[in-house]
Amino acid sequence: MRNVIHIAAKDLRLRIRDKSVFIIGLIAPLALAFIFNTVFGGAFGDEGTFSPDLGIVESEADQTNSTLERIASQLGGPWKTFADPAAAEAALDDGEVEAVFVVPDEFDSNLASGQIGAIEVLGAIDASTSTQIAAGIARNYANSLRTTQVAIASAISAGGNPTEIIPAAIEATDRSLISLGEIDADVRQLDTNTSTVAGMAMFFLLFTAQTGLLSLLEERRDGTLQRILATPTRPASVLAAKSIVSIVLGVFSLLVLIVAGIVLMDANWGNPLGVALLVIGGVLAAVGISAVTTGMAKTPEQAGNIQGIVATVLGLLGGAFFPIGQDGGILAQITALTPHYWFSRGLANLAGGQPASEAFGAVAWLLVIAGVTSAMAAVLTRRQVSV
Amino acid sequence: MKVLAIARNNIVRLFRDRSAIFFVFVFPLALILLIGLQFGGSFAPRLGVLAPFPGTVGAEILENLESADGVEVVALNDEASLKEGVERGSLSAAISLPADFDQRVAAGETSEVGFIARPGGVGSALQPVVAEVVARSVVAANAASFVAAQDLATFEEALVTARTVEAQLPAPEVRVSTVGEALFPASLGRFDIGASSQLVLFMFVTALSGAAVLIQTRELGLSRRMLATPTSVPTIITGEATGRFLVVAVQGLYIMAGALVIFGVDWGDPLSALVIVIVFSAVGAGAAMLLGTLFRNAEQAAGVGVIVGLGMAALGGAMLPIQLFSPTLQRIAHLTPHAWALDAFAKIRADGGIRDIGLELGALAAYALVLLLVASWRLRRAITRP
Repeated sequence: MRNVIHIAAKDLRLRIRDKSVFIIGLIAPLALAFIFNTVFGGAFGDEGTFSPDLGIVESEADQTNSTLERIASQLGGPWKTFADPAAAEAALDDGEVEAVFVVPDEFDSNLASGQIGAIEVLGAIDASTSTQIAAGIARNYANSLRTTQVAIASAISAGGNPTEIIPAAIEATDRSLISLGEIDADVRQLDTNTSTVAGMAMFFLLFTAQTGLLSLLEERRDGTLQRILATPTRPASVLAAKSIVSIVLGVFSLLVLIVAGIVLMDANWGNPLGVALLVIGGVLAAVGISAVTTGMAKTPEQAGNIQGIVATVLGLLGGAFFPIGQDGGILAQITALTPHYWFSRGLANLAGGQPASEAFGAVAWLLVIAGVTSAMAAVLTRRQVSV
Repeated sequence: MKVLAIARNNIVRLFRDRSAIFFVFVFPLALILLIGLQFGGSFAPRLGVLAPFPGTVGAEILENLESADGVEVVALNDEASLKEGVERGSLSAAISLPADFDQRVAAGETSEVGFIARPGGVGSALQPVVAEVVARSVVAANAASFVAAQDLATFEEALVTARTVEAQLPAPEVRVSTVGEALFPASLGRFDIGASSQLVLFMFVTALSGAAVLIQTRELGLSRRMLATPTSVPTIITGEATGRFLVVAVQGLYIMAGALVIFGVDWGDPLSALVIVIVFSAVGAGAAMLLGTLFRNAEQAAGVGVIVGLGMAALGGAMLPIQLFSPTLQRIAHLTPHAWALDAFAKIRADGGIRDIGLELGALAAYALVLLLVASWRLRRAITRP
């Protein structure tokens, strides 16, 4: 046991003296998470609700257009007004608004005399969702007109008295057999900042977690491994020491990143116990995977290269860079094989103040990955610690 | 001749590392495939619909939702997948039609359609779209329920009348038209944008990984030995630069050809595309040389290379199209060579020729020139330093 601690302590000192581990373990994930957040956060910002920028063409000829009032009352948010359709089109082109309602001046007066006009919705070509929402609002209004119209006509043909029917039908306009009711659900998704920090942290963890084990191959190349084994030190102790270095560096880098995420990027991590368990599970899985790649290699360079490929492929498939497999299908199954997926999923389960137990499932899967890879590594690394 | 020998030596050392073959040749095309599969479809918000027994009215609602342009309808099988989808963010919003929905409407009874949207984001704004489609499907039933409430007929009789009336009366019209020119033309293939983004991303990352080779040249004592031979410093520097340049240019041409053959990516005018790749390779070579002179430890240079390579790609619009950036960020993006190269590719995709991309090529050439000059000056100091 003392030998294990000696070797581990020596290796840790060496790693700290060589600054590379700080670049890969701390600076790289933080810098990239920061850049990704700046770039992606602006486009897919989840701050606040999506509200389309809408406008209304309000010509001076008709200030008492009740159709416009009804549409405006449905908008909820603020809107811009334009004097004529040409001004609205220019604003659409500049990206000032995303969709504009154009109600003809004579729409209401025609309506009173039984003529049905057309409401126009102009949308910017790249704002199809906002255009669709504006069209929904306009159609909603058209539907209520339509319902009143059909109700009046049906009632009259059933023998109703128009003077009583018409006011009653207008009053009943907003009554519908079908209403929309809210379904309740929690949010189990990380905000953009937290998920990029988590993704980058896990991606670079695979590199950090390898540093300890990699020194096994370095010591073998430099001849110090043979000397250690010539002392009364069992090969298993050497392996244990190297694994401890990997685990310590991995846990250290993740913890620093989690704290830096809170301080620098407003990350929300959720229940501390749950996060701690995920960190341990994630590090063990990462060390297990690194042990397998190290076990497959003959030289430290080779091990580093294989790890580069494995880490990049797992990171991509695990959704560390962009979400993967949300539509189901084969990608959704492949992504569930990566530790990145379970680490993020566990954190997502904790989002919104859930208790630590919500992360247990993800932690269990991380431990399964750690167990399977460690078993494989145990077989593979045996020849590397033999003299 | 010596220049080529030095360049060759660089390339041989790079590819002796088998993983370089993976990152230079296999990985970029695999990523184009993956991104094409994941994002090639639309960016429309996904609306889940749970309708186990839709009936006539339900089927009409479904049909109207599917014909709505800005929304992608996803059919769901159970309540659990509805909640899971919205909670995890794979759906922006979802609606659930009760099982006895159709019967209740047919009998004139009220019923409730469940609607759920993610708090924040686009989901809650979809509510008017859904509400409208639902309301449109029950115009006749609502009218009939009014007639019945007025005691003029039973609901069933009134429904028959209302349906006839609905078919005869002209409806108020909502005309929707779009203004402007699309950022991403509809003719754009599934892999097209992704391909040029991945091209510049990988060329630059590969170039920067060459910085480590440059440091090895010094670590292994190669530069000292070369200087001991009758080889001038400019020859060594040119050789190192040529080595970097050739690797990046070969990768660029390979990705172009691969994407063209495998995914049918349309690159636009071939001559212009070739010139962009060559000038961008020179930028990459210059950046790699500079990075290689800033560090003395190959691992540190490799780590910083990953940060700079991926970071500049993200900032330059090689991960997310630059058109989606804020105006300020778009200007910042043009500090990276990536943004200029992507602009050039976008122009030639839109049928531009070499004359249309003069500005972009000029900017890239300026980058290449400045980087190569500064790097040569630094490298001269690094290898002649006692």
